Amino acid sequence: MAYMDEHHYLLIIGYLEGKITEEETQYLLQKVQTDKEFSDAFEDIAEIWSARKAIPNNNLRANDALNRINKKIDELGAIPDQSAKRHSNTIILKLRPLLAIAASVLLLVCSFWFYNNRLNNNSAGSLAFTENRTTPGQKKKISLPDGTVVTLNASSNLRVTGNFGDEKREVYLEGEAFFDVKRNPEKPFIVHTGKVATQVLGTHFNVSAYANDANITVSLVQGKVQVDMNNDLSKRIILDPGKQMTYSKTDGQARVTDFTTEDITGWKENKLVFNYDSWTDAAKKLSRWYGIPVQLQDSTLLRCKLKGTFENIPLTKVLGQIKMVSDISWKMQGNTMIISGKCN
Amino acid sequence: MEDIELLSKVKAGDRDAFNSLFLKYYPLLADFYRFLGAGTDDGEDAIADVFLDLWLKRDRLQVHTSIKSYVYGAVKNRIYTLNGKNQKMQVLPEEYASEQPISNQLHPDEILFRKERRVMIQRFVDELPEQGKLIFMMHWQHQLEHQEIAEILNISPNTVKTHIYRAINYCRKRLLLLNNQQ
Repeated sequence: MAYMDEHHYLLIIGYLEGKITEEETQYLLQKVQTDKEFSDAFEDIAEIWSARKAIPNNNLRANDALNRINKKIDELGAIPDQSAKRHSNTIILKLRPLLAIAASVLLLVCSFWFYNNRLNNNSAGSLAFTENRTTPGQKKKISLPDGTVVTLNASSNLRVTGNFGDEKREVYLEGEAFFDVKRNPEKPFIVHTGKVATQVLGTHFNVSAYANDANITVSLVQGKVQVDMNNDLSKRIILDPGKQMTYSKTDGQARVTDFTTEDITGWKENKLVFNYDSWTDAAKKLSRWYGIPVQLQDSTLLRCKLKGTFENIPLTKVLGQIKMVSDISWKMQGNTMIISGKCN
Repeated sequence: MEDIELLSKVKAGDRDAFNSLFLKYYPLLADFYRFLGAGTDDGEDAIADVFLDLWLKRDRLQVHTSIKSYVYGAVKNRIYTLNGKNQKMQVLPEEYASEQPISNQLHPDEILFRKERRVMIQRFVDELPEQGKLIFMMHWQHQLEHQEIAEILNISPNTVKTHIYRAINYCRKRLLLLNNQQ
């Protein structure tokens, strides 16, 4: 085994911990592919890194220790050597241990419930999925067992594997979701969307992958994500914050562009955002957002693009506002909204 | 909640924030005092002292790098004082760590478990010289930054890096021996 220099070792560790820049990552990936010695070292270090023990988390003992400290603080606070102002403080402080006990009981109850829940999930078999669905117009916040929070946009489906968190944290998404992933370098978090797999250690990002859309889009708000397509490592893309990857389902090509966070994650704050969307895409968005089918009647509309943000207003008002800048009209036919008109 | 937010709430006298901070760092510090070589009684006392102190002095608290390195450093100082160790960590001569002899002989029980490479790697780390092990564990297991480790142990960030580098080289050497024996 030849010895490599310190800088390269630390670079590999930085990569494993998700702490290096895009340029360093590119350099490292290049080196792994061309330098045998380097790729040996990479393998070894990755193995060494994954062998670290998890730090035991003894809730019971922690709560015991905390209760003792709180008792001491209260005793110190209760020494009657101060003014009347201090007196009112001690009353509040004396109430605290009760609260602490209540909190620890609650913690215990929660951990028991969580433990129980896990047992039940496991007994259901590791291949089982938990499904979370949203209907058109509906949004949902889902908390996963590892502390990750997923906000699911309308008409979407998030499936969580039964063995989620055992080795990897894997979910399957159809539709759109915003992920706030709890950091855990040992258990990568992977979002599967058709041919695109997005892998992260812990970060905030948005994935849009509706079955009837032409593209799959991964937009990174913070941290670092790795996007793989068709399991082809040579196509791997590593995104920096503020960048998004758009994968075209028709030609299998991906491109990376900048994006404005508001445009992508506005939906979480109930903002319907069109960012130079074609009318085809806009109609799909409207239909998911308001839960009714939307059809376009004039092919001339297809040539226009829409830009605008609408905050929590009814569909007809949205169309009314679009009408002010664009020559459109609409009517309901049964339960379908038909839009016609032309670009200005 | 982020540390910085918790800290500012603690400074404002928020007991719940204080409790959260304690529960967040207790497991880490309990693991940390063990590899500093302290027993349960001393270690638990050190943690309790540090947090009691943190609460009582919250108005005057000065945190340089992070609250994480502050509590680690404070626990370390108490344990070192208790054991009569110098506050400043002694750094071994440069050539020491890499010249550690490596035993080629595996014990019978090690042969039994040699497939358990994970366990073996943990054992290799155990074999590191005291300081190298401490620094490596702080980075590897506790995920402290170089800068934080340097501050906690009162050494330079470059020394931290060198120790991590040596620790990995040592583990790789041992892994290689393991591979050759299989």
